[in-house]
Amino acid sequence: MSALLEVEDLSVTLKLAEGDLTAVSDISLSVEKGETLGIVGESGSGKSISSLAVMDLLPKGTVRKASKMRFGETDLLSVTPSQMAALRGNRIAMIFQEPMTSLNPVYTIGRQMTELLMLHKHVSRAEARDRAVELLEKVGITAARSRLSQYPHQLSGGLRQRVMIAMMLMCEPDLIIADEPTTALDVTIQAQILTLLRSLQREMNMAMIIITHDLGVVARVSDKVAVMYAGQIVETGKVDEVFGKPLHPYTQGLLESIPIPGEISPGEELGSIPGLVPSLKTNFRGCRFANRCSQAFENCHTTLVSLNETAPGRQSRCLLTPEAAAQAFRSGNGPKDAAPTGYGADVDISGAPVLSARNAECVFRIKPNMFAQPKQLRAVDGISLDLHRGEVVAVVGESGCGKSTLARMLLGLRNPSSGSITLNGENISGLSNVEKSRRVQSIFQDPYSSLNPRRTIGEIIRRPLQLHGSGTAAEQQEMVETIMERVGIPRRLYHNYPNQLSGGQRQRVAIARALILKPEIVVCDEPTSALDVSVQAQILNLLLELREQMQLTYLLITHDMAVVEHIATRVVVMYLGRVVEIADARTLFGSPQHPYTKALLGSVLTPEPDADVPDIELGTSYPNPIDPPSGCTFHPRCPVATDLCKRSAPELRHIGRTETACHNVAAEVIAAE
Amino acid sequence: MTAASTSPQQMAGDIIDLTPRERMIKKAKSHRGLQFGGAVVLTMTLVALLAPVIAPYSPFEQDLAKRLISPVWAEGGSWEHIFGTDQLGRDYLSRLIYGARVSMGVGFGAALLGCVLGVTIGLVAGYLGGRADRAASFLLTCQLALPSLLLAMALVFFVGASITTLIVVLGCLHWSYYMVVTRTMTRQIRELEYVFAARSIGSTDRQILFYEILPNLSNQIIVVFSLEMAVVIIHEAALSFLGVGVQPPTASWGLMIAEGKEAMYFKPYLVAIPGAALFLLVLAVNLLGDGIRDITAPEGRN
Repeated sequence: MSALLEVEDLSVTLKLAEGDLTAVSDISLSVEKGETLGIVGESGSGKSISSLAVMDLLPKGTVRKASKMRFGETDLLSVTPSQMAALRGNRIAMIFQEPMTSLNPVYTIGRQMTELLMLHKHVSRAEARDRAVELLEKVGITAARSRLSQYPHQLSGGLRQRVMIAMMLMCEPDLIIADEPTTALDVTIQAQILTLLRSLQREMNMAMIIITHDLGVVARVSDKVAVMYAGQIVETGKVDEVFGKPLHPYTQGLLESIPIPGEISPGEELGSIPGLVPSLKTNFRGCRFANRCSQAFENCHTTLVSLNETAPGRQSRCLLTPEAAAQAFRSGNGPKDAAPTGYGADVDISGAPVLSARNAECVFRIKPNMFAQPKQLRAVDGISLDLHRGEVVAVVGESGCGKSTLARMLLGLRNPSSGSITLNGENISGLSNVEKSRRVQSIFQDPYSSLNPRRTIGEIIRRPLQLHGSGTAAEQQEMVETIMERVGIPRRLYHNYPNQLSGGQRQRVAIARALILKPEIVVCDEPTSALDVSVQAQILNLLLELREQMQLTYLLITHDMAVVEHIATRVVVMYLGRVVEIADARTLFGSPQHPYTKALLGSVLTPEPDADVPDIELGTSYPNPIDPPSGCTFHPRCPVATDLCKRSAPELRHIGRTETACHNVAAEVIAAE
Repeated sequence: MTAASTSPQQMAGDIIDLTPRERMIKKAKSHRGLQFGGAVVLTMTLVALLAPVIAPYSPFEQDLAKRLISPVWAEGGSWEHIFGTDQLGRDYLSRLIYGARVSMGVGFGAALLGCVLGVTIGLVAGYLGGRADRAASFLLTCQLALPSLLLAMALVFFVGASITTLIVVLGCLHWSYYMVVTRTMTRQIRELEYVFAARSIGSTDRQILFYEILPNLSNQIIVVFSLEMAVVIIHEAALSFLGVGVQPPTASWGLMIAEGKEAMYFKPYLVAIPGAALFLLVLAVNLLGDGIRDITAPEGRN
C-alpha cells in the first residue's frame, strides 16, 4: 500500500538579515492511512516547521525545497495556492497547541465550526449545524446543540481543545496534524484528549502526525516515531523499537533524562545531555550531535552522517554500529527496582518545622461589574502544612487549585486572609522583606519572565547582595562568581543579558539568584515545566546536588508527577484550594488513597510504548473556583461519590501513614476495624 | 568533551565578553543615525550656547536701509548677510542663531518637564492600580478633553509671556503620551515574574519601580521624548506665531516664520530658512532617540 503522505528530502531555509538558517534539512516522512506518526524533538529542532512546510503555511521569506511531496494523488510541490487552500482544513486538518488562542473569540463555536464545512463542501447551514452537533457529541461534549451559540471564552481549556478537534473533523480529513495538542492542558485532561484523538483516528481511519516534545505522549499514541535534532531526523522506526532499543545517542539521552519510576530511584542523578543545541547557522562538517555526544569519536566531527537503514523501517543517523550503539543505552544504571533507597531517609520530621502554615486562607473578592454583589474566590481554603529542615515537600494539583497562591503566601508575598504562616516560630507578616528573603527564596516557573531583560546576568545575581548590603563590591563580585560556578553558568556570561541565554541557562541564573543569600528554604514554582526534557534533567540534578551541599529545604510546586516522584520526600495533593491527601512520597506513590490522587497518578504518561493511554474517569472538567460544588468539592468528578459526598465536606484524617480527606476511604477503614 | 575546534561551544568560549558599556560604545560606533542625530543636536546646542560669540550681528539691530536682502545664493544676495535680512533689516543668520536658544530651550525643557510628570503619574498609576489608577485616568481624560493650544494661549495670556512660562505651560500640557505609554507598560511588567522575584529577594516598592521597571520603559520613553520634543517646538512656534509665545524682538524660529509669513510669496526664504532649521532639529532628535534606543537595548541571541 502506498503511503497517504510522502515527503522526501524536505529542506526549509529561513532567509534572515544575517544569513540563511536551515531550519529543516533533508527530512523524509511517510504516513499511511490509519497510522500515527510521532515527531519528537526539543524546541528548535524543526519539528513544527516541517509540518508547516507540508501545509504550505511557512512564514514569508522561507524557502522550501523537496524532491518529493505527495498527498494522496496530489503533488504538493506543484499545486496552486487555491488548490492548496482547498486541501487545507478539508483533507488535511491541523490542531494547534494553544486552545486559548486558536479559536476566534468574536465568533460563536457554531459559526466557526459550520463555516469550514459550508466553504469546502457547499452544504446548507442546517446540515452543517447537524454535523457540528454530531461531532461535538462524538468528542464528548454534553449539551452540544446549546454549545453552538457559545463563545470560546465561555469554555474551559479542555473543552476548547475538544471543540478544536471536532472542528477539524467537520470535513472528514484524511490527515490530521496535531502540533503539541495537549501541552497547554492539565495532565488529567491531556489523557482524555489523547484517548479521544486515538479512538477517533481508529474509527475514521485517518492518518495522524503528532508533533510534541513529550516522549510520553508519543510513546502512548503513535505507531511510528521520528526523532528530530537540529533540523534533521536522527532516528525513525516503530515506536516500541525506538523506545525499547534506541540506537541514536540522542534518543538514548532523551530517554535517560526522564525520571521513569522503576528505571531510576528517587533522588538519583538523572542522565542528561550536556551542552546546547548548535546554532543552525553553523556550516556542519560532522554529526550535528557530536559535540554533546558521550560516545563521539574523531570521525563524528569530520564526516557528514547519513540516515542509515539498520532494519526494515528503522533508520538511525549515527556512525556507530547498531549493536555498539544499543549497548550503551542505560548501561550505567540498568533497570532497578524502585525499592527502598536512602533518599529522604535522613529527614527528621518530628522536630519543630522551619516553615508552617496554620489554617491559612486566601480569599479574593471578585466583582464582575459595578452593581453586582462581590463574590468570594477561595484560592486557598484552610491549609495547614509543615516544612521540616531538609525536606522536599511537593504540592501537586491541576491549574487553578491554588498551589501558586499558597507558594506566594509561604514566601510572604501575599498575606493570608486568615490563619497564620510562621517561619521558625515567628509570624511571617511581622518580618521585614529583607529578613524574610534571607531565609526563604524562590525559583519561578518561567525563566523567560523571571529575569529582568534590562539587567546583565552579573547584575541580576548580585542584586540580592546589594539589597542586603553584604560585603564590599569586590566581595560581592567574588560571591557572584562562586555561585555562578556552582550552578554551572560559564563566567563569560557575566556581562550578557538574559535574552542571550538558553532556557536552561536562564533557570540556572534564577537558581543562583535564589541561593546567593544562602537561604534555608527554597520555594520552587514549576521549576522545570518551561524547559526541554534534557534541560529539565540538568536542572533537577542541580537542585538535588545543591540540596545536599547547602542543606536546603525545598517546597516544590508542580503538576508533573514524574518530577515529584523523583525528588520529593513528602507530597501534598491539592484540589480547589484544599488538601485532599498528604503522605510521604513512597507511601503516596505506593498506595494512593484519595480518588483524585489515584487519577492524577494514573494520568502520568511515561514513555512506555506497549502501554496505552490510561483511562481517566474524571467525568466533567475542573470546576470554577468561584462557584465550588457542595460538600466534597471533588464529588462531581469522583467515580465513587455517594450522597454523603454531596452533602458534607470530608476532613483530613490519618489513615495508616497517609492523611486523606475522603468519606469513602474513611468508611473503608472503619469497616475494616 | 572531545569537540572539534570548530564547534560553536568552543568558539563561543573563546570570546571574552564585553561589559555593557563597551558593547554600547561598539554599537554606537557603527550607528549612522545616532552619529548624525547626535552631531546635529550637539552642533545646534553649541551654537545656541555660544550665540553672542558666533552671531555676526546683533539680532535686534535694525537697519531699514538694508531691508529684505536676499540670502547669498539668491539674486541680489551678498556674503555680508549670508541668510539675508528681514523686513526690519535685521541679519537673518544672527536671528536664527539666537532663535535656536529659545526653540531648543523650550523644546528640551518642556519635553523634559512633560516626561517627568507623565512618567511619574504613569508609573504610580500602573504600579498601584485601583484608586490611584482611576484618579490618573480621570486627570488624563480632563487633559485630553481640553484643546491644548487654546489652553496654552489662555494660560500664557494670564501669566504673562516669558520663556519660563512657555516651558512650564507646554510641559504641563504634554505629559499625556508619556503617561499612557508608561501606565500600560507598567501594568504589564508588574505581573511579570521578575517583579515577584525582586520582591522575594527583599526589594521595596521604590526599588522595584526604579531598578526593575523603569529601565524596561526606557525604549518607549526615549521614543516618546523625541516625538514630543518635535511637537513642543512646533507648538512653541504656533504660540509665537499667534503672538502669545515669545515676544518680539526676541528671536525664535516660530516667531521668525510668523513674521516672515507676510512676505512669504515674495521672499520665501523668510519662512524656508527657519523652517528648514526646525525640520533639521526635529529629524536629528528623532534619529538620536532611535539611536539611543538601539544602542542601549540588549541584543538578542547571536
